[in-house]
Amino acid sequence: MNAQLWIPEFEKDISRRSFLKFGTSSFLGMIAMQHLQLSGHAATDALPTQAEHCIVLFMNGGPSQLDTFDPKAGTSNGGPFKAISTSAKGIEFSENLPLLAEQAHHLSIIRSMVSREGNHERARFLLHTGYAPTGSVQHPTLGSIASYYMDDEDFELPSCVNINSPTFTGGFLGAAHDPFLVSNPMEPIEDLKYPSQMDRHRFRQRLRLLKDLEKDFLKKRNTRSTEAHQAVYKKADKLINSPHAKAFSLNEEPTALREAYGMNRFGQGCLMARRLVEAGVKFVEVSLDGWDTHQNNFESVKNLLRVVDPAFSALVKDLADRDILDKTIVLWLGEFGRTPRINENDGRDHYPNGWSAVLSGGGVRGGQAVGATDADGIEVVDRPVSVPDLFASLCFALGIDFHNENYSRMGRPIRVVDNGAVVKELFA
Amino acid sequence: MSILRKTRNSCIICLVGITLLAFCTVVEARISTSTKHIDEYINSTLKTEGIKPSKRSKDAEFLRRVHLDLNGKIPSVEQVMSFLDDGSKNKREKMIDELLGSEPFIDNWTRIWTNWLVGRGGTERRFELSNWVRNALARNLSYDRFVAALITADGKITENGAGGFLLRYDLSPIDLTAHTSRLFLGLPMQCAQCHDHLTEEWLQEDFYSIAAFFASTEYERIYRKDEDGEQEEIDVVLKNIPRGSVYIPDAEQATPPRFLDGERYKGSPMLRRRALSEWMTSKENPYFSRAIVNRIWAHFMGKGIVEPLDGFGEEYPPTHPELLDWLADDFVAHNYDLQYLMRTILNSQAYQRTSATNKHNADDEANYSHAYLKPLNPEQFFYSMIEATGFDRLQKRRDRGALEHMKRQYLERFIFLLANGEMEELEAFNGTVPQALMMINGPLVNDSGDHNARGSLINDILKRWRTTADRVDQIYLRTLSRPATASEQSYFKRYENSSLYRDKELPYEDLYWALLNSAEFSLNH
Repeated sequence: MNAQLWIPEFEKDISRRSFLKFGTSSFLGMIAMQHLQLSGHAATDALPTQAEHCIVLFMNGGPSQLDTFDPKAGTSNGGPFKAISTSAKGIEFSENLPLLAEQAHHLSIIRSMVSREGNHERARFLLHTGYAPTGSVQHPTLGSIASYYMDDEDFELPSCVNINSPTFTGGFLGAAHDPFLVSNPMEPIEDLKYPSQMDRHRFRQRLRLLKDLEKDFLKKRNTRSTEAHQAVYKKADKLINSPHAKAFSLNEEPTALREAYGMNRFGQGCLMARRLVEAGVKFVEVSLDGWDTHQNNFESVKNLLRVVDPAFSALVKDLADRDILDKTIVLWLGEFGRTPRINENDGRDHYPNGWSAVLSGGGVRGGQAVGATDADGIEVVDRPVSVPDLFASLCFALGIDFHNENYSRMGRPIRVVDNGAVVKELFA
Repeated sequence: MSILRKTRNSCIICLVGITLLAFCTVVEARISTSTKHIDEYINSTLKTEGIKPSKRSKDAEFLRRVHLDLNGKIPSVEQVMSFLDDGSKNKREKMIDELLGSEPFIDNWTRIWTNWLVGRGGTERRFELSNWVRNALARNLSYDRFVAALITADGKITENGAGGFLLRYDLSPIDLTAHTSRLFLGLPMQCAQCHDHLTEEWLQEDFYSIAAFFASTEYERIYRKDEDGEQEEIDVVLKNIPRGSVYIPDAEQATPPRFLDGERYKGSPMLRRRALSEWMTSKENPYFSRAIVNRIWAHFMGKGIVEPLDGFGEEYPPTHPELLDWLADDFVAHNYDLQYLMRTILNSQAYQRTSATNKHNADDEANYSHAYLKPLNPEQFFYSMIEATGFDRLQKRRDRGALEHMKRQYLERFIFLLANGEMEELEAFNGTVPQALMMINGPLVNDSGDHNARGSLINDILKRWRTTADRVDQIYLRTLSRPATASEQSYFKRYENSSLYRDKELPYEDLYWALLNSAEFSLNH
């Protein structure tokens, strides 16, 4: 080892901090930032304000576009629901979304999503990573990509959080970017507090003991992962002791607001997402199960939307009221849509050929619909948007150059998004 | 001391009688011809590369490794003590034989195979499949017949759990082709699903030609009305049907079934899966035996001769091609016997080297000059935690059912916390923040490490052992499956003396915590 390169950990920390401070306020920093922007292919038409956070509301199972954001009322495929007008001129939603209809001026509806994956698991992978599963490459999930490019190492909370159910991992970007899972937002986070007889001082003493005792074992072994191991413990330590950790407890919110979001796991998850974003978390995904409506589609969808409509609309309104909607891009979608044709069990089956996704905030122009399906909802007739296009657009909004390449564990270069282009209409 | 005594004993045995000696030779001969080949190949590469291998592992190191590899958890303190006290010369060989096919071995390999076959998720009919796997492993069913049974499974799932494999992929010919070729042939054909493979010779058409073999299968779900009048699924029946085809996206014509060597299949659609399985498991198929030999090798040795395991082809050439061929041929010659293959590898010097490196081999990552570190996967980590924390004993007042239920919940949480996408190899060591929180603040670690809690592991050790040295040894044996070294003993004494705790037992809690959280615990080394 080169002795001159050795810097005590403490000082290293200081120097990195001071570099960061220097970096953002100085001339050198400006050059660095310009360079970053120029190297992005989208630099010429960069957004006036870059989004700093992303919230994904994921409808597990695949929600019906016809019974939500792309109603075909009055046609044989339309089903029993009426369409209602919204705060966006010329845009109609299903009657199940009265509260979101009032927020439509904040929403941009993509009615022309297309993909090839009609199997839940494969589609879920595609919609989280931007890639169809190939088995051998461990593609990172979108939240991990955000964490990788946007994480601030000194930040005490995890930069990527999943609420209600796990998704995928940081893959080849590393376990440090795995999403932090909150399995139930209505209960306290598990193991976030020290047990009795333990405090920060004793915990650090234990860490020192651990380090000393490991020394002999590690001296003669190649363990690149040891540092990662230590880093994870330090991160956990920071989290346990962070004042920001109260972002996870919803008790501080006024009851009226909690109720507006809905006193259920999804509604409270959306509220937690807002609190986390306010605290500085980069990416939050809140999921809602139950959308695989092969049978009894209409009753199920109606019930699910009683949860989604208040939660999603309260979130958009709350973010807007607090002036953070511009900095936060919100995405609502599932792994695919449902068949326009109604099957013999009053259900709808998987349909990747033309479905809807909804965006809000983060520089996206609200009050518009992008793309369209035909009168029966079967074919996309205008502006098809692929999953990589959607991912490219999210990256664009978040200031991530999606042409960047990272290396898979086997050393293959892999782009953040492959074969995608920004959907410019969203931001126009 | 005991080492000397052992040496003397074995000398005496050698002198005692020719019959005994002859017996020993027979036992050794059964193992060593094949095993010797492994070491000849590995050692000769080491020689050419000029790399000096590490020494043989110490007994405790070997025992922990072989338990983790075969039984999926660390040995108990009793197992460690009796192995260390055993003076016989061939005790490692005996231990390998004892573990292969044992109850914990079957449990562990049932988990491993079920995960390989259908992933870790809550899969449909996982229970039936895993029972089928258990039964096959208990009979040591030969590997070719094992795979054939999975591919050709039909009938009621409740009677033939092998069908759980096909059901897992919802009978999708695409998914079954991708997964079958990866797992059983080591071929990264899934890339060819969407386009001709960039670096290998596989064309999209090859992929769909194989997929066509899976296209003539259907399932029927059997329901009955339960007490509340709700429909309840009681069985799934898999059957072959006389039709079914696959289409390359946007193609007008269906792709007919064809083997990868180019031969068209012209038989009845009803027999397509049987034909595929016969072709796949045939002695002439070079990929079939090499893929499994490489997979098992990687499991024990920490690195495949071909990496990644589904990387057979031009892009990732084998590091030891002759060895791979030889192992595969030997495996086929021994009737695809997985336990035979394991025994062959486990008895080798290459497997039994220490993981500690020397001056010359610290950077070696391909020549097996030392044992490579293997991060524990979630199941190994969890079952080792259960062993180390004395969880079963602590909970002994509960009935067995409740205990198993608690364990399952813990394990699910472990996997949940670490949940990756399906099929990915999970590592417990790198860990995530929630896992660290569980290790720092969670009850599994802290309840057993609380010296004030009656019946807890640390309470028990401190009660039973009075001197610091004994107590430290016991804590090391529990967690790291070895006694403490002299320098570890003296380090702890200093730690104890310098600690400012009013409660003098707290340093033992710290020691226990530190060892459970150490790299030595969370790596298989």
